[in-house]
Formats: sequence, C-alpha cells, structure tokens
Amino acid sequence: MYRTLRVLLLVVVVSLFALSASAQTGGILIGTNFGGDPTTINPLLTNNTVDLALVEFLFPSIYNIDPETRAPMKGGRNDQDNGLALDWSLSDDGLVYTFTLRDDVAWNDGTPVTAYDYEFTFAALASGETSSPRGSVLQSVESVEAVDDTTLVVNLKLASCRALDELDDFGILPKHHIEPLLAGDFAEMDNLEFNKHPDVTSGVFNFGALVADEQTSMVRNENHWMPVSPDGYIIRNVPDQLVGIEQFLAGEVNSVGTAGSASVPAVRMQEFRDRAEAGEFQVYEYVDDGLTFVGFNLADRGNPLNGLDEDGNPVDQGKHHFFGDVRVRQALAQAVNYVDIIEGAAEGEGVQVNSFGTPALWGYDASIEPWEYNPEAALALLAEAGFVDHDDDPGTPLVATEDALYAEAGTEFAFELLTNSGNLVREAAGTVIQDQLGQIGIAVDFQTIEFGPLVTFLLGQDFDAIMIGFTNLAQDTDARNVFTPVGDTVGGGFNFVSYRNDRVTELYDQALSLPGCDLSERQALYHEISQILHDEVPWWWLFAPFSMYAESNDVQNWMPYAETRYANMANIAISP
Amino acid sequence: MIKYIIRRLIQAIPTFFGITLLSYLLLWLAPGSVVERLYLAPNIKAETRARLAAQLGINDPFHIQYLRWLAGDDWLRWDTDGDGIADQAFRPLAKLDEDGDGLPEPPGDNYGILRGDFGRSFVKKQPVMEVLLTNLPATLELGIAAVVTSLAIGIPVGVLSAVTQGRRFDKVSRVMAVIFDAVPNFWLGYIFIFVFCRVFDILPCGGRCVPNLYGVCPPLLERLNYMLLPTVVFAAGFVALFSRYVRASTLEVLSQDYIRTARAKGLAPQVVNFRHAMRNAMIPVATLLGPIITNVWAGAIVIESVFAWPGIGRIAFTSAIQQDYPVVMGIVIFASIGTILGFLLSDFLYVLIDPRIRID
Repeated sequence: MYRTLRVLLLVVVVSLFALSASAQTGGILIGTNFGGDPTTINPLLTNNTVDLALVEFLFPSIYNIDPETRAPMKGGRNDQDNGLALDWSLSDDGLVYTFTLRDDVAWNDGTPVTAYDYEFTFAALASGETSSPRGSVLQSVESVEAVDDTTLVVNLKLASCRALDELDDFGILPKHHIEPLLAGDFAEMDNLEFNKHPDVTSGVFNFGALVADEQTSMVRNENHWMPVSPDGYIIRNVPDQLVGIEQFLAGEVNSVGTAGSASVPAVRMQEFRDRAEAGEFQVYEYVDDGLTFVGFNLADRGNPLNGLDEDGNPVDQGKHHFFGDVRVRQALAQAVNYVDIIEGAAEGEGVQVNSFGTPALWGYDASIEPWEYNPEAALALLAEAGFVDHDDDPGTPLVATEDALYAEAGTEFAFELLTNSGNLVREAAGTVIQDQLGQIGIAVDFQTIEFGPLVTFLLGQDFDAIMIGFTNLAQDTDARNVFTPVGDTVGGGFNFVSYRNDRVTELYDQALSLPGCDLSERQALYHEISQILHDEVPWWWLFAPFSMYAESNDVQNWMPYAETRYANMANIAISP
Repeated sequence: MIKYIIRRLIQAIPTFFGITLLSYLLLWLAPGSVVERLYLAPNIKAETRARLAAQLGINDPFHIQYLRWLAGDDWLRWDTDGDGIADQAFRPLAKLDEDGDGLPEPPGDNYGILRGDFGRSFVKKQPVMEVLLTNLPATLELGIAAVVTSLAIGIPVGVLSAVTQGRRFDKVSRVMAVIFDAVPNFWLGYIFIFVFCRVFDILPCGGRCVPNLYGVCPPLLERLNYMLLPTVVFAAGFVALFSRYVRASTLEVLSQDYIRTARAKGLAPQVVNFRHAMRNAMIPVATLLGPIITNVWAGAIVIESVFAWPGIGRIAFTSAIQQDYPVVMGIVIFASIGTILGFLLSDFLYVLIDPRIRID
C-alpha cells in the first residue's frame, strides 16, 4: 500500500513536471538587425541578409539543407530551409533531375504547395524580366516541368553537379496568388506590393508587419503542417551594433543578430564566451563560410587580356614581373606570421585557411598543412627566384638579378597592395603584411581605397595584389569561374588573378560533370584541386573568421548549427 | 509683409537651384555606385548588372542625369499613340533607341523634383517621397522635442546666469555649457544608454516603442520613456548654445538705460529681468533658430542612428552608405527647404520680438 502510494506520488510529480515542461511554449523571439530594412521579401528577388532571414521562414524551398553537413537533404526537417523534396533522382546521362515533393504542405490560404509553384517561380526567373540576382541557375538548367502536384522534372543543358545547389538558390512563390497580379508580364514582379507585405506564404510564420527603420515581424502560422511554438519573431532594426549588443545585455532583445547573421564582433567574443560560461546567456561558435585573401595578379598588369580568345583558345597574357613566378608566391606565403595577422586583424578569432574555402564547406580538405611562417625559407626561395639583398641592408628592398624569370635585373622588389577603406580587419591585416615583408626586404605600398574604385581595379585586372574577402560561399565547393580561364575576363570575371593550370581546369570539369554526382567522389576531386591551389598560391590564403551566435537564456530548445541559427524554429519557446 | 515674403521666396529660388546643382554634382563625383556593390556577388551576371545600370540610368552623362532628376524624363522620350512604346524623343538630349539595340526605349515616366517627383529609391524600390514621409513624423517628434526642451532650459539658464554673473550658478552653468557643447552627442548617447539602460535599467536602450508583432506604436504620451534619452542627448548641445547666447545678450541688455530706469522706478527684480530684459535678450535666439533647424537635420543622423530612432536621419545615413542617390538627394532637398524656411522664420521672429524692426 505504502509502496503504491509512493509510485502514485511519483507519477503525480512526474506529470506535474511534464505539464510544466509542456507549458514552455510560445513567446516572441526578438532579434536585432544591423543592416537596414529588408529591401524585398520576395524569395526570387532577395539579396541581403535580412531579406533572407525573413524569406527562410516564410517561403518553401525545393529541398532542405542538412544543417550539420550543409549538403542537400532528402526529407528531414530544417525550419530555416522549409524544404519540400522527399526524394530525388538523377538520370543516367546526368541531364534530368526528378523530384518527389511533400503533399502535406499548404500556403496559409489553404491552397496546397505544389510542383507547379516551383515551375512558375522558375519561369519568372527564366523570363529574364525580373531584377532577380539568381540567374546563374539558367546557365545549367534548360527547363523545369511540373508533371503533377508532387513530381517535378528539371532538364539540364549540360551534366552539372552544381545544378542541384543552384536549384535551391531561391524560395518558391505562390503561383495561384502571384500569377493573376502579374497579368502575364513578369517585369511587374519587381513592383508588387507583395514584395513588401507578402500575404500568401507557407512557412513556420506568416508575415506580420514592416515598420520602416524600426522592425519587421512575423507571426505564428497556425495552419503549418506541424505545430509551431513561438508566437512570433520580431527583427528589430538597430543600426549601431554597439547599441544592439547593449540591448541584448539589458534583456530587451533575445539575440545579437538575426537568423541569417551571427553579429557578435570579434573584439567581444572572448567576453561573450566568458559570460556564457558563467550562465548569463547562450552562445554558439563556428568557422564562417567566408575567407580573407590576397589575390596576386599573375599576368602582365600593363596589358590585361582575357584568358581565352573568341574560339576558346588560351591567350598569352604575359607574366607579372614578380608574381608570375610561383617561387615568389610560395616565398611570400612563408614570409608572414599568420598568428600575428589573425591576432592583429581578427582579435585572434579566426583560423588560417590552407586553400580555397573554409573548414565550414564540405569540399575543404582540412588535411592540407597550411603555409607556415619561415622567413629563412622565404629568403632562400626568393634568392632561387633571382631576388637578393644586394647591399646587405635589410632596410632596402631586394633586387632582381639576371636569374629572375620575369623582372628586369636591378628591379627593386616593391609592389602595391590594395584593399577597401573602412574595413578595419583588412586594414589591420595589410599593415601586418607590410611590416613583416619589410623585414625581409620587400617594400609593400599598402593603400586603402574606396570599394567602388577597388572593384574597378580588381575586375580590370589592373593591380599587383589586392586583399579582399569572399563571404557566404555557396554550399557547393565548385569555383570553376574563379580558378579557370572561363572566369578570366577583363572587366567582369572572377578569375581576376588570371590563374591557369590545365589540371585544375580538368578536375573542376570532372567534378562538375561526374556521373551520379556522388558527394564523396566529388570531394576527392576538390581535395586534389585544393592541394594544387595551396602549392601554387594564386591567392595568398589568409584566414576564415569565427562567427558567434548569442541567444538569451529565455530562448529554450535552441538548436543552432553553423550558418543555420534556428534549425528547429517551430519548437523554440521563449520565456516571458 | 506679404510682399516681403514673396520677395524672400523669389530670392531663395537661385539659392535652391545652386544647392541642387552642387549636391548632385558632389554625389555624381563620389566613387562607386549601387550597381558596383553587386560586382563581387558571384551569382549576379554581368548582363544583370548592365541591365540594372541601364534601368537606373546611372551610366548617362551628368547633365542628363541632373536634368532628369530636376525636370523629369517624360519630356525626353514619350508615347503619342498609347501603345506603351516611346515614339517621340527630344532629339538634342535623347534618342528613341538609346542603347542601339534596334528597339525604342520605354517612354519617360518621371516628373522630376520640380513637379514633386523625387524618383524611386534604388534600394527600397519605393517612391522617395513615400520613404521620406514615412519617417518624417519620427524626426519631427524628436526634433521639436529637442528644440522645445533646449529653449525651455537654455533661455532661463542664460538669463539666470547673466543676472547672477560671477556667482556659483553662473560659473557652474558656463562650465556645463562648454562641456555639453564640446562633447560629441554620439558619445554622450552611448554613455547615457550604458548608464540608464544597462546599469540602472530604468529607460529603454533605443527604439521608438516596445517591439510588437503588429508594428503598432502607441500614442506619444504612452511611450515618453523611449523619447527621454534621445531628446536629452539631442537637446544637450542646443541648451549649451542657447544659454551662452542668452547670457551674453542679457548681460548687454541689463546694462541699458531703460533697465536702469525700470529698476529706479522700483520694479521687482523678476519683473525687470524676465519681462523687460528677457524679451530684448531674445533677439539672438531668433537669429539662432534658422541654423538650429539645419542642425536638427544634421544631428538627427547621429542621434537617430545611436538610439535606433526611425526618422529621416536614419534614412540619410543608410542611403549614403548604400549610395541610394535619389533618397540622399531627396533628403538634401528637404533639408534645403527646411533651412531656407528656418531663416525666413528667424526674420519674422525679429519683428515679433522687437517692435522697432519693420520689414517691407
């Protein structure tokens, strides 16, 4: 009897506990955005962080991204992606994808989300009449056809393993709602009121309100295919990051940054780490998917030419008098202390990268040893390349001898390093590079200029060396337009350093057209490319910064991943 | 009086055009553009960039861009048969087929600022007037509160400082005036946020009202706590300025014969100081009001950014960063008109305060 009572008592206690736990739902999540109002909330037209932070919770996408690997995921759930595909297959010739979509997802007006919605969205993009920045998908996709509500067929122009990645580059629009508004003219897409106040959506949230320069809000979608816990998500517009952090520390908001951005500045990461350890709030750290690098101009700066002629044949672009010689680039890669650069530029909150990409990407080969600081080895390589200290004065620049491959004898080793003004990280990194190269007799004329002119120099291939960063690298590691002659076009190409290595080109082509697009097979090809790029140093591989999410303790059931702040938004609860 | 107003307004026209020309030229000379910012986005094709540049008209020569902004483009290229395709062009400045692709360009649809059309924001993709009018109430709210607060504090402090010349109140107020005049208001803002929001947790860190799902701000009286910090920080510099000017002019007035006469007649010191002296000491305040209105616009850029206040200053800052020229120019025009009217207001206040001054 006594034992039965004890068991009953235990059951009551457990039930009460469970009840109290289940009561932990609802609440409003409040984040901070430092980048201004959303410019558009149309998933086809979006192009900035806050736009994407909203679109990801309002519109469906073709498939989910595995938050852990960043690879496409069949079925499964990731609230930040809101993907439809349960499964897909690729034809043997690699030219046709067939997707099977979920049948239990509906727009908030009750209309089912179908393959016809994706077909319509793609047609708008393919029309070329919208200002969508997502046109790169058209290079590989020929057509999209909805066979029925849940079957979508995508025909490719050429076998491209990148296509799968590109198909997820935009969210899906409600055809039944948008098509009548356009009246047959896709050019009207840019002028829709829907772009500011999307009333027909299908995500964890419905759109709430946009108050200019103040806040944007979303409210719980009661008709979502699964129960949604939070009452809503408000993104508060705070232009000053310092004030945004004060608001977080004062408990006025739940997050530093939004769904799409981390936003704890490097200079405060250690403080946040310590305070999180003391239980004041929660943090999540990861290596960012962007990197900072110096691009060396490998061709003759005085006569910039495209990498290929009109018939697709390689063009002799001449050689840069210093950087045309791979030994010089390898020497520079060993002439600076990366610890100093990361300390000086990023408060130590970053990791040295060994080649193109960052550890956040599946194609990155973490086994490659990054270049190490070794000034003696650097000087020896420079001497081998024909650059010597002719007067035994380390204060004067090295001078080219007759052995130099492309520099005239007597040329002093001095070059111009450019970066954009206002970027404190790059300005600091440039100063460290200038100082350390000066110590081995290389004179660096480090200049910071406005971003606009910098881009003109960069794409015009009129520079010696430029420090810049690539951010938000795509999930796919393909960088064919960055390191092959296809992208070496003066005025617009991303291979602005004019790098060419036929083996690299071959490997990129293989990785793109690999039958079946098996991820591990492609990974092996990218690893080989990474090793070559590491060895040949067309870019001076510097570092990838750390990113940090900070969330108040009020936010419960929080499940963050790198680049995915709220993988389970539907289950999050916010204490009042 | 009406003649005077008309004359002053006519005089303001060349000033206004001079401002528009200089401001537009400065922006045109600024490096970069909204399209160049898209260059490093690997997913944006060169054709897309070129199309955007053509749509925005940023590749046209300066005089065409300026004229289009000033007087619109509906007279440059227009459609006479109503088929939506331009069939007539003002030949000296425009061609039907501007880009040489064999097809006529669309007809102009911009009326120019002289006809109230400020164009569309490159970034927000809304009419500039709509963008500005959305945020104008917040700036007016804060600006008026700051000016009224600074007058309400600055004038009495200046008068009291003058009548207590050399005593403790005078010394303290002068030191405070120098401090508040010298301290940058963004720094003062950070300090106030840290102290009153973070440390004492008695005032909000920023914003105009409590964030809520439907974006509705309650009436002003229910959110005064949100106004307090930005108003105080905004007004601090103005208080310093007014108190110093009023102190100096009051001291001058207090040495006048009619004040001595008033005192000799046995009037109470408060009556002498505040009825007779203060009114005449107000003339410099009237002079200051014009420039103060300009300062409100300029100060709003900093204050609104620090306190996340959704006003015109915020738009000015973000638009300049994003090189959203139509919006920046819209703000310049708003500010120019405000300044011209502010100086006109100063002239009228002279008359109100000093009956000896007459305008005709």
